[in-house]
Amino acid sequence: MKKIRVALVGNPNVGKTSILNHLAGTNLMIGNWPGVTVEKRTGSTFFQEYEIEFIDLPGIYTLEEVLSEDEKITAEFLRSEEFDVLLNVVETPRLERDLYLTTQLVELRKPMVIALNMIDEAEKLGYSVDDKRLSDLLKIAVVKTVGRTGEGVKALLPAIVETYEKQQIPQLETLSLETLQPEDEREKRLFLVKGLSAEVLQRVFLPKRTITEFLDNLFLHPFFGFVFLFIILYVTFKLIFDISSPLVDFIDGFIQDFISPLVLISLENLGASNFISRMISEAVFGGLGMVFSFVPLIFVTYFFLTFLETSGYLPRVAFLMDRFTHKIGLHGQSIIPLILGFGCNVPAILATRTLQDRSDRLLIISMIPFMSCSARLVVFGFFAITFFENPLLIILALYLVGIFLSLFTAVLLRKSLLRKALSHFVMELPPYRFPSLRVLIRIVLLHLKSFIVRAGTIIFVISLIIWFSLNLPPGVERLEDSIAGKIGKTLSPLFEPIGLGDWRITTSLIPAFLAREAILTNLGVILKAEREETEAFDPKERLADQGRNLLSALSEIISSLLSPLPKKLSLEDEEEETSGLKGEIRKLLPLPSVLAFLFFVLIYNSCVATVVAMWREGSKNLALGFLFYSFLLAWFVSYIVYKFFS
Amino acid sequence: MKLSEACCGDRVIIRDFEGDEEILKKISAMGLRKGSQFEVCLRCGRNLLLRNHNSQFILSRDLADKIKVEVLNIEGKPCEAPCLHGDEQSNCEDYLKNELTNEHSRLRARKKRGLGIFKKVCPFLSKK
Ligand SMILES: Nc1nc2c(ncn2[C@@H]2O[C@H](COP(=O)(O)OP(=O)(O)OP(=O)(O)O)[C@@H](O)[C@H]2O)c(=O)[nH]1
Ligand SMILES: [Mg+2]
Repeated sequence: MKKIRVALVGNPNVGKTSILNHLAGTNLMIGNWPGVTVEKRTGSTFFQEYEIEFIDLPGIYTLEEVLSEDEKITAEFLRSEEFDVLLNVVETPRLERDLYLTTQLVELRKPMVIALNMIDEAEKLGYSVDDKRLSDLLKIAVVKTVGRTGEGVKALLPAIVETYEKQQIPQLETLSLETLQPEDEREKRLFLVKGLSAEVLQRVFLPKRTITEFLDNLFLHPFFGFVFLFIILYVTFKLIFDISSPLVDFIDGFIQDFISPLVLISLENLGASNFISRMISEAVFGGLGMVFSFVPLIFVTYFFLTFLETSGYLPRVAFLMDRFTHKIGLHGQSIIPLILGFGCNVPAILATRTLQDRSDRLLIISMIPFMSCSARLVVFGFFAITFFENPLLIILALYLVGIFLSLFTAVLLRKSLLRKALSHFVMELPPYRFPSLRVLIRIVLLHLKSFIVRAGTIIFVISLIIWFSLNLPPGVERLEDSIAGKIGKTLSPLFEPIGLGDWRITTSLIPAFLAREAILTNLGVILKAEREETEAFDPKERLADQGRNLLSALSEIISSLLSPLPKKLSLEDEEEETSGLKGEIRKLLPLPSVLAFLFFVLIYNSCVATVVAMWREGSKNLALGFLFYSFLLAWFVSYIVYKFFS
Repeated sequence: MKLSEACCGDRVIIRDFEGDEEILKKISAMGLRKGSQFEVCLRCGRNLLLRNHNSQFILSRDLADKIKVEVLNIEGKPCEAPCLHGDEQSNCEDYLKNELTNEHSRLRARKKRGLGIFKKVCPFLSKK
């Protein structure tokens, strides 16, 4: 089978990745701001007797000047010529802008197909689009597409095959620019583009005020813009918690009080050895179950985060925040990676590739780890729900402290190692685009999948290792005397001053370096091992209990959605026996230690994936230096918190 | 005149770029080209928001300094921030800064915390 390699090239945010997802069935990230794709990604499909491999590239405005890391990737790939056909994706309503790049691509003298994307938007804006004319002028195939829904996208495949077979290289008779001076060349190119665009796009009617204009008058308002920002963030945060926390409680109870004993009893009936059944109960259900119960939280968090990313509100936040951030030497665009950091720090660090200045990049990279990611949210959520009357407020406080420390770090670095004048800021604000629910859910499920895969692989292995280290050397009587207990106790003196001297806590800080959720796994395994199952197990009765729990979780969601203020766990609730392992943990830690622990987890860069990303995108010194700095800072802040509250 | 001197609501046409920096080439590739028309929609902080019938741009003032424009229509909409042609106090942040550099007004500003200071920063609030 023959292979055709197709490079997707175009301006940023024109829908290249959306088209690829429809063509090759890939699940690559999309978002409504320039600079979502920052690395080369591929996807393949089969058509006729060909395997067609698509290479998605970061967006680029011009090949003349390559300023940022992501543009460099595209420019280098185009120079390498490791492709057979160029698929130039064009945002039809902004045809004149996009054709500037097209005329540069023409000079590569490679077979080319043009996708006139966002036809739907062009029509709404009152344009009539003459694709035949463009095809005649350039003598190549031109296809109208809608990347949002996939309309017309499949017609690209026969066009690509034909272009490849006939080696249709674009011809522009008027285009012999190489001989001109660079200055004249640009002038002439701009003229040419203007003419081309006028031939193809005709304005049939002028639309009334667009929804984007209307929303921007509110969201970008110098005063009310911030009011809306605050409301949007508050509502997002509240919804995340209101919807997910009752469900998390329910799943935790369901796993610990129903599934786990049920499986144990079945194993006993099957005659499994005590060793096996203990391992399954403690490592799998105690450790993994704890992490899995947070699936609703991850789902809801990513649902809202993805909505922000795909709607186009993110670059507006960049504009609003620039008013403040430029005072500490940061321009607004850097807000985008920081916000992405609330999902996961690693892609956020990659997203800094769009920044032009190296010292800006290093600065943002060292701010990102303070943005509390979803893995930390899981840990915070667990402790906050277990220990505090008002979990929402304590989590909000942790987020704010994280943001404050990232700003503190930025100022510190700007005044010392990364001293530099403020760089300029130019960005396109895309129109608001509301993603189809299908695409939204697909992206959220993607994040959820990676959470579950992580839990099923790395966290599962950690959980097994912890369990073994708790049960070795063989025949160990007390958990404190096991390997894990000894390691924990060795580390205790270091953490004693911040109230975390308990070996069960110190041991959980070690696996946390591989994945933060492992803190919960660790505690889950240990506590489950300590816990004695006393009650008799009657599956029917327990199942009925679980049914009631689910109903009460659902009614709790509805009631808290209806109240505008954050949910408050009443005091009776606290005295009530908590289901699952939460009750056990409450007995383990006094309140000041919990706070110190949460701050420590927030600040210390305890995630190996983030360190690796910092190393690769920044430098070795940055990664290691930051590790040391964040440990010191975490220890110091936790110490203050601990002393303050005890 | 320079784009940075344009006011909120002004319609301008880009005439020329000053200087030969790389970033100017990128700006032009992004769609801010000689001959294209924009409305200055907002200016707050160090940024301008430019809009035309199908695109919107954020541009910092140091870049706007390098773009020569001709104003087509001055009367436009009223501006959210105090904006006088050629006046130093051409946006809300500067306005605040100038207020505060004056030692007396430093004290006054402290007294007028709350809505008072917001009215100073963004006078539309006191507008009936
Ligand atoms: N209305 C409409 N929206 C579209 C269309 N194609 C893509 N979009 C939206 O445009 C935005 C950008 O899409 P992406 O596929 O991420 O664009 P990209 O070219 O890969 O962007 P970068 O990776 O940043 O260069 C997303 O919000 C899409 O949902 C279309 O044909 N019509
Ligand atoms: Mg992309």
